[in-house]
Amino acid sequence: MVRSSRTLTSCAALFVMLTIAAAAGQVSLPNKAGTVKFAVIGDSGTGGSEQIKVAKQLTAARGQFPFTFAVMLGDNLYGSERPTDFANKFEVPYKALLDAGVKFHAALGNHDDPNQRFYKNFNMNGERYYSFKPPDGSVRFFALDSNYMDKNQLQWLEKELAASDSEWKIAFFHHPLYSSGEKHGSDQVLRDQLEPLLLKYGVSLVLAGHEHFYERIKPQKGITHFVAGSAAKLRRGNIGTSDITAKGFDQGYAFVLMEIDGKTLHFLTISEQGKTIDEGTIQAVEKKTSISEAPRPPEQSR
Amino acid sequence: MNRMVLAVLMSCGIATGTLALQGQKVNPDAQLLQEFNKRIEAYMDLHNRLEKKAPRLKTTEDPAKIKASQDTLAALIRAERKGAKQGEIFTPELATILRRLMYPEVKGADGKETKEALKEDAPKPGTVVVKVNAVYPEGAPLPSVPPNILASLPKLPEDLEYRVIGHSLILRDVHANVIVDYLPKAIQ
Repeated sequence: MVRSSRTLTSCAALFVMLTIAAAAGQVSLPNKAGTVKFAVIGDSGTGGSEQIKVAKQLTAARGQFPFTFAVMLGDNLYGSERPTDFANKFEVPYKALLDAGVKFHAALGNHDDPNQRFYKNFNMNGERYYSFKPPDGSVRFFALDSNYMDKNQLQWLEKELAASDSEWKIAFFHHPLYSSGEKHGSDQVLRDQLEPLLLKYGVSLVLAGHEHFYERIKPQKGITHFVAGSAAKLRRGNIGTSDITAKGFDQGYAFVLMEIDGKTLHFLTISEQGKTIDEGTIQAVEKKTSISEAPRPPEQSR
Repeated sequence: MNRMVLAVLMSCGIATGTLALQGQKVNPDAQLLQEFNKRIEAYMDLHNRLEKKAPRLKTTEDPAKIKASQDTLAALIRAERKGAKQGEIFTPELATILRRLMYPEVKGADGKETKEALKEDAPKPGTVVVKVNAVYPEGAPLPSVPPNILASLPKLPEDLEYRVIGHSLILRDVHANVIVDYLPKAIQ
């Protein structure tokens, strides 16, 4: 009798634990202390109910996985950009995260007015393209304006990449260099300009949006590309048949969590329903041409 | 003229006057590009002068301040350039050169990708009224300019940018969000 009661109690406890884990979005990753933790959202600025749903999952995920910053892959504000739009399409959906001190670093999309760079909460410091280095970990992010890849920007990028000796170099911008989207697809012209630099200076990871779905691309010339433009918009069924897709998800909205632990980057993609869509690890590419990091402001440069 | 040579002339800013002084023939393309740079400089002088009268555009948590700065500068520029007409910066002579510079990037099979990229983010027809002094419509997407097109065009100061709307190349004041000039039939 006592034995069966104990068994029942154990089963109930296990059930409760499993329920909590499921409700919290099944976040796992290594989730270790002292690693670089961040989130990735793209094409988020609609102010609509789907953005809110994704934002709620993102907030819930942070309860377990305390990321300190998020990168925004452009189309941060769709449509008008009045002060109320900044509130409805950004400040309100991500209020809990902003209040908790999460920093958002934005790249510009084709729906964004470049004057967004002066909006403090996007942490662009008045620049259309910039780089930043989180306080912990050997990683530098390069935020690019893929709408307007002029000579100045390309020269700046080369200089910044060459000056960085970070273990991880991560580029993020709006237009994907590789994509299986039937609506847009890979931006070949942009790829011709950018890829040689990314390869030359050992960029390991490229994050892009624009396509309203999630796609992880098989490493291309050693670089892993993510397309994550479904944090508020969805182009259902738009991922075409392609041999570059490692994982695609075009049946729901999504965001990505990432964690850098030494030379390993862990990623976890979660839907607006809190379900795990994709997960895995990436290794940093071998460091290539790099000079020791030039003196610069600790957080941000350009 | 070879595009590469022209690009070198554009970036080095070789003054035609220097060549003339040396008794050599003046290259007409370089002369026109120099003239273009002068017109851009004149516009930027005006922009910089009026920008001082608008609320300073600086990093802020308050988007209303960004909007106020943009709107004020737009109003000042539009008032000052009330009578501005198409072709004041993209003069007819320069238009020929710019079309010629861009043409190799969009012609034939090689140019197909560039043409597709230009269509990619284009606002719906009729959304943007291409007119000198018009404010670029709020909420309309800003079409991306393919890097090869940008590489073929003369460099601009940071506050100005090229965009392509339909077949027209527009010159846009970024801070003020105003169309400064446009070149029709730029993309053939």
